[in-house]
Amino acid sequence: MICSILTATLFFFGTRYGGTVNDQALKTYQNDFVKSALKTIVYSSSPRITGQELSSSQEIDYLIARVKEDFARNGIVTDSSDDLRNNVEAILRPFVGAFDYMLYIYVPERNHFAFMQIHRSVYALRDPAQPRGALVSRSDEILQCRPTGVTVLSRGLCNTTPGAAYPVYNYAITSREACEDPAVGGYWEINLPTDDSDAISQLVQSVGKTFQASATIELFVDDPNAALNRNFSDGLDRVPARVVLILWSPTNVDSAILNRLACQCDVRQESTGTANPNEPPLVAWQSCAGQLPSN
Amino acid sequence: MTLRATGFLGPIGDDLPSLIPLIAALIIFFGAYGTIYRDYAEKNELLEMTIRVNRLGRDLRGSSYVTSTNEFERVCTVARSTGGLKFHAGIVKLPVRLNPNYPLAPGDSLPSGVATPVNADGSCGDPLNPDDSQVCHCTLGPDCPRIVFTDYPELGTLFLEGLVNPNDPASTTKKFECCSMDPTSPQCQSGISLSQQWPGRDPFQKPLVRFFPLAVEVEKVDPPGSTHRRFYVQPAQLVIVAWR
Repeated sequence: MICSILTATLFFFGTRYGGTVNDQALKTYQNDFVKSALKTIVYSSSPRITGQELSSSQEIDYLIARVKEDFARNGIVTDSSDDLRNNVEAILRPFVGAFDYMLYIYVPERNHFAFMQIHRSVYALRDPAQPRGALVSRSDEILQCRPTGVTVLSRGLCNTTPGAAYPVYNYAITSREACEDPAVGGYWEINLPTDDSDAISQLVQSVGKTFQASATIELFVDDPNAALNRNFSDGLDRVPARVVLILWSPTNVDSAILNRLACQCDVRQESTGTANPNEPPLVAWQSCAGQLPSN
Repeated sequence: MTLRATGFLGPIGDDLPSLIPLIAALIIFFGAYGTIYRDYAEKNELLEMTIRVNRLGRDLRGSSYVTSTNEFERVCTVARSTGGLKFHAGIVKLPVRLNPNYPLAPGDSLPSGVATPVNADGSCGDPLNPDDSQVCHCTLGPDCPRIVFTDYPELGTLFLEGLVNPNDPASTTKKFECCSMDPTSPQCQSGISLSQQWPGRDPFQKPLVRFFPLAVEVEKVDPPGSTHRRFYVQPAQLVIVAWR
C-alpha cells in the first residue's frame, strides 16, 4: 500500500517535472523572436524608388525614415506602405503557419493609427461533405486596416460645454481655432477614446496567448491646428508614436472585429514580369474581391 | 515436538508468504524510481540545452543589428568558448522571392509562373501533414523548423557574406557562420540542415533549432570600381542548430 502510494506520487511528480521550466524557456524564445523581428523591421533599409533592388539602387534610406517622411507629408502611411508590408511579410512569412501577426503604428496623442497590417490564417473545410473535417485547409490573408472615426489632421471634437458632466459636441466645427474662438467658447478635445483601441483589445483577447514587442518612434506632421506645439523651425510638429508587433498562434479571427478596424483584404501576388529571368520579381497587392471574406 | 505440532517451518519459511508482496512492492518502487530518474536526468539535460540555446541566441544576435563579419566572428568566438553546447549557426539571407528589393545571391531563385497567389490552394508543404489530411500548423517551437526548412530550403544555405576588411572593397569576403567546432572543417561549411551529420551526434535525437530575425549592414561600392562606399541594412535570419 505504502509502496503503491509512493510509486504513484513519484510518477505524478516525474511526469510533471520540467513542464513549467520548458514553457518558460519557450516563452523566452518567443519573446526574443518578436523583439528581434520588430527591431529588424525598424532597422531595415529601403530603396527610395519602390521596386528597385537594394544593391543596385542609387538612393537608399532607412525604411522607417521613408515612413516618417510619408507621414509628415500625408498624415498617414501611404506611399511607403507597400515597401513596409513587403518587408514585414518577408521577415515573418517563413514562419507563417507558426503564427499570425499584427503590426501597427499608433499615435497616442491623436488616437490615430498611421499604419496597420494584420496577417490572419483562415481555416476552412475543403469539402464540407467529408466526415470529421479531415480536409481542412489553411489560407493566408494580409489585411490592411484603416481604423475609422479618426481624420488625421483635424482629429478632435469641439466640446461646447467644457466642464459639464455630459459634454455636448459641435461636429460642424473642425478646427481648434474655430472651437476656441470666444464666440464659441469651446474646448478642443483631442484624445477622445474611440472604438478602435477597444477593437484591438478585443482582437488580442480573442486570439489567446500573444507575444508583443513595441518601440517608440517620433513622427513629424505639418499640422496647422497645433501651431503652439511647434518644436522645429521647419514648421513640423513632433508627435510620439508606437510601433507594435503582436504574434499569436494561428486562429480564425472574428470578422466583426476586423470590420471594426476597417480592414481590407489583400492578396500578395508575385510575377516575373519581364522576359529576363535575372530581374527581380514584381510583387503587387490586389484586393480580395474588394471585401473582407467572412469566416 | 511442540514447534512441529504448530506448523513451524523455520525463521524465513514461516514469513515467506508475507515477504512476497513486500519484495514485489519494493521491485515495483525501485523500478519506477529508476525510470523516473532516467526521465528526470533526460529532461534536465534537455532543459539545460534549451536555456543554453536561448542564451547563445542572445549572444550571437546582440542588439539584432550586425555590422560586419568581424563583429560576428568576435561574438562567435565568445559563444564558442562559453556556450558549452554543440551548435552550428549562421546568418542567412531572406530569399528574393519574399521581397523583390533584396539582392539575388547564388542559389537564390526567382518565382516561376505568373501572378500566382501564394498558397492559393491552401497547401503548406508540411511533410508531417500532407495537404489532404491535416491542418497545416506548427508552433514556434521544436516542430516548426522542419516546416520552415521544407518551404524555404534557402534558409539553410544562403549564407550572407561580408568583407573581411570593410575599408577595403577588394578584400576577401567571409560568411556569417559560426560553429562550435573547427570553423574550417567541411562540416562547418556545408550549410545548415536538420540531418546534419556531426561526429558524435546521435542521429536519433532531434536537434534544437532557433530562428531570430536580425538586420545586417551590407557594404555597397557605388558605382562599381569607385572608392565611394555606402551600406544598406538588409533583413536576414540567424539560424541556430544545436544538438547533444
